[in-house]
Amino acid sequence: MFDTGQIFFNAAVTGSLYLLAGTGLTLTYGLSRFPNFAYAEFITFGGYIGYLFLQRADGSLPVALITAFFASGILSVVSYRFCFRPLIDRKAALIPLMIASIALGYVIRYAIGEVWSWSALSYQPVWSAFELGGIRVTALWLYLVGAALLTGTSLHFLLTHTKTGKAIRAIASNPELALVSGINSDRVILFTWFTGAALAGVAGVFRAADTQLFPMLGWDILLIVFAAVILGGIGSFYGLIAAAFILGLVENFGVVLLQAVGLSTEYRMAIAFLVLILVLIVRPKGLAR
Amino acid sequence: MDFFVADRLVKNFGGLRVLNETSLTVKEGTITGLVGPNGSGKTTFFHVVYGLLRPDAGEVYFRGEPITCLPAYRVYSKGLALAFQLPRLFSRLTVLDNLLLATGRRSGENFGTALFRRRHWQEEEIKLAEKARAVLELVELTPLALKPAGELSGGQRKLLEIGRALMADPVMLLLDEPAAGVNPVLGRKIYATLERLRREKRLTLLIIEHRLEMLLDHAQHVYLMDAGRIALAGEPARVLADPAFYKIYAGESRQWQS
Amino acid sequence: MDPLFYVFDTLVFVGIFALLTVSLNLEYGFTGLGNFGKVAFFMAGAYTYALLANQQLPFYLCLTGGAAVAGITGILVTFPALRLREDYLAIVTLSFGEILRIIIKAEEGIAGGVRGIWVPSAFAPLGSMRSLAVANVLLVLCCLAAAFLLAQLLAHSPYGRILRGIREDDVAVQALGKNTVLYKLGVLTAGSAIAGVAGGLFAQYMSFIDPYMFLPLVTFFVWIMLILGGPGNNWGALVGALLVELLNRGTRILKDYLTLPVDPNNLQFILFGLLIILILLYRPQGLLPEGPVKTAARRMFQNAPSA
Repeated sequence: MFDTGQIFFNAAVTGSLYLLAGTGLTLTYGLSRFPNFAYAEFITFGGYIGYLFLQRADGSLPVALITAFFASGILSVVSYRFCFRPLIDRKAALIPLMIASIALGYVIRYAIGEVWSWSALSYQPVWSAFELGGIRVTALWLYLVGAALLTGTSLHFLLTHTKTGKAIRAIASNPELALVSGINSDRVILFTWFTGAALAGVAGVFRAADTQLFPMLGWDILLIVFAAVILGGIGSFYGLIAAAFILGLVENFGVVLLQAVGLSTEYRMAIAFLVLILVLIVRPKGLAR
Repeated sequence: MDFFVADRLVKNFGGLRVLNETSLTVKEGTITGLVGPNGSGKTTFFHVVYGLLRPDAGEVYFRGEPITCLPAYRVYSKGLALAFQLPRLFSRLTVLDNLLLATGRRSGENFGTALFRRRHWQEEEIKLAEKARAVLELVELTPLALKPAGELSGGQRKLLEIGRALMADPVMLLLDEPAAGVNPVLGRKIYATLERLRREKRLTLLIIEHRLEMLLDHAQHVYLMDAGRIALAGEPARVLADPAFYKIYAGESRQWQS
Repeated sequence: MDPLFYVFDTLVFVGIFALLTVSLNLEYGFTGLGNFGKVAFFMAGAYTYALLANQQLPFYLCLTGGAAVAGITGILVTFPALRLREDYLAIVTLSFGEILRIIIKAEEGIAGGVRGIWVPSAFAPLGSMRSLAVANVLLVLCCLAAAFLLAQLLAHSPYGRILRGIREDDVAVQALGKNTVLYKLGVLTAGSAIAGVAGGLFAQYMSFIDPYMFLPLVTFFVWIMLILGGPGNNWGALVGALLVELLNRGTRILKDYLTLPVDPNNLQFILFGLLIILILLYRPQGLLPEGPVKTAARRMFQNAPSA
């Protein structure tokens, strides 16, 4: 009944998507200390920017990915500069920051709905499936896994070998100490807000290419991504890598299980919620700590 | 058994051992000082004793009863109160409300009594307000009673923090640097007040203090803490006379210069 | 539509949303708890009401049932997150709202799934449309008055003082001998129960509910109302609910008279989002700022500042 190889591959694909979508969320959560719900819209926005290049069948995926990368990154930096930074400067507490991020999400989402309409769109290029060692794959999925691998290795290099990366880790673990030790936290924060959201934009293109494009695209996966971020430990990139693939596995095995016991596959969201609750009860600080 | 006993408390933060089998006892009705260089674990010791942090090993006894690992609100109900080093006031509540929140068990603090025993708790409220007035006189904050606590100056905040710990008539008080951040005159006054409370109400006090000149006049017993251990103990004069005392404090000053 | 009915309809909706806002004010305004899943408890109350009313139970029992189920749900959902930082509670409640909707959608056996469920009117025997409308308005306003009174009495009592203390500094309240987890649990139970009543009233009034009526949008509206009105002020909660609902209806009416280059529905949400951000930036205390805890002690000090 279980095609284990296929499920593991699917888990890698799903996990790759969550990793791309969640990297910025966990890093900015760790740095700026609040969960930014507008990440849903950073993902969606990337998807729609990708549509500019992929609405024709001969559209180029790499061009779409790169443009979405920059577009979502810039959107995030602008939102930080004009919405979150002023709030932080005014000593806004955690919950007002979260509310502001939800409000900003609505602004972006409905602006997208205004520009591109609320009906679902589809990318035109088709990625047909083929067999690879007994596993059904598409080129798109392979690109997605490749993008996640590339992100993983380059971020690992960045976090361990560059000044900026070390500063990110230092600020995340102790903001006051980082401040007195003379780390230019403003630049580091802006860099993280840009790169994180840029990766989320890339995730949006992949998600839209794999399914459909609609203004709720980001919101529909946001809570699962949150579950991954908390499971991994807020602020921890390495924790997120593990958590994203664990959630990918749980979800893909779970869907097969749900079908086997005759429950609706709509419950795949519920699986992530179950994981979230279990994490909160058993290990609220996540895997990384 | 002694009035208050901490027995070989251990607390690790990650790989760092902040409390290393710290033991001390406090006799009833005395002022006991806990001194030591920065980072020697004094505040952590208070937090562990008070149930805000969980010890990795060791026991705490208060009036012969183990209170180790009790949550803070249970420790408080046993008659211990803690005044934080950095005042943790309710900044959007008035000074008066800060005190009235610290009254120990009373009516109107749960859903049922708040709604259905209004007259009863309102009467109690007036009695408690009288008590708050007395505490305010003591800490010289009477004119500010209806101001939000967030508007107080640093020294005033410190005083309110101490006043709050006094509201419920605790049996024993843990004070974390009561004279830090207040001017010397006021600092001496605080100590005079504490001394009076000790004499009149047989209050027991365990005090962390950096300003030794104030503490040592009043303390009957002093513990010197260094790197999570009690390095020296005894009457203030004897501790002061010990060469090890200066070595430990001098070690700190060297650390800070480098 | 008869203008009078339109006024009644508006009143019912203002009342239902005011109930939600008052309940959120207890949780967030006073206690600082970010319940981002208000809609879940609203929904729990609505569906409980619908299921009970279909068993021919009288409306007051259905409402009580809705409150009870929503309250218990509140305990179960929030308990795992309560001892943790406040953002966990926000994420858990938000997720739960989504999950509950998915369950109701997927399980057609419970309440019709996506097809929705009909709810018998509580006042069907009254017959005439007009008396029915009046009865609906009265029922909603009575429930609102009761919830408002409850919130006011709690806010100005030692209990409410502790709630505000928890909002300011949870650890300090613990150090002063209060079991803060129990207080938070109590407030979330009460808040969820009130939201459950609001849900029951909604189901009764609409006479038909389906899962698409319970989108996260409902939660967002309640937050707009509270932030605009003034967190920590029960009157502010009422004013916020009234203003936002009127604004909402205003744009719906304008839509028929104005031809805008943009879709008014999109524009409305963009403006609401910007409004929230601007309030948080420039007037975080809302229209009606929080007042002090009013008890006998305060009056005593006001009358005689020093003895």
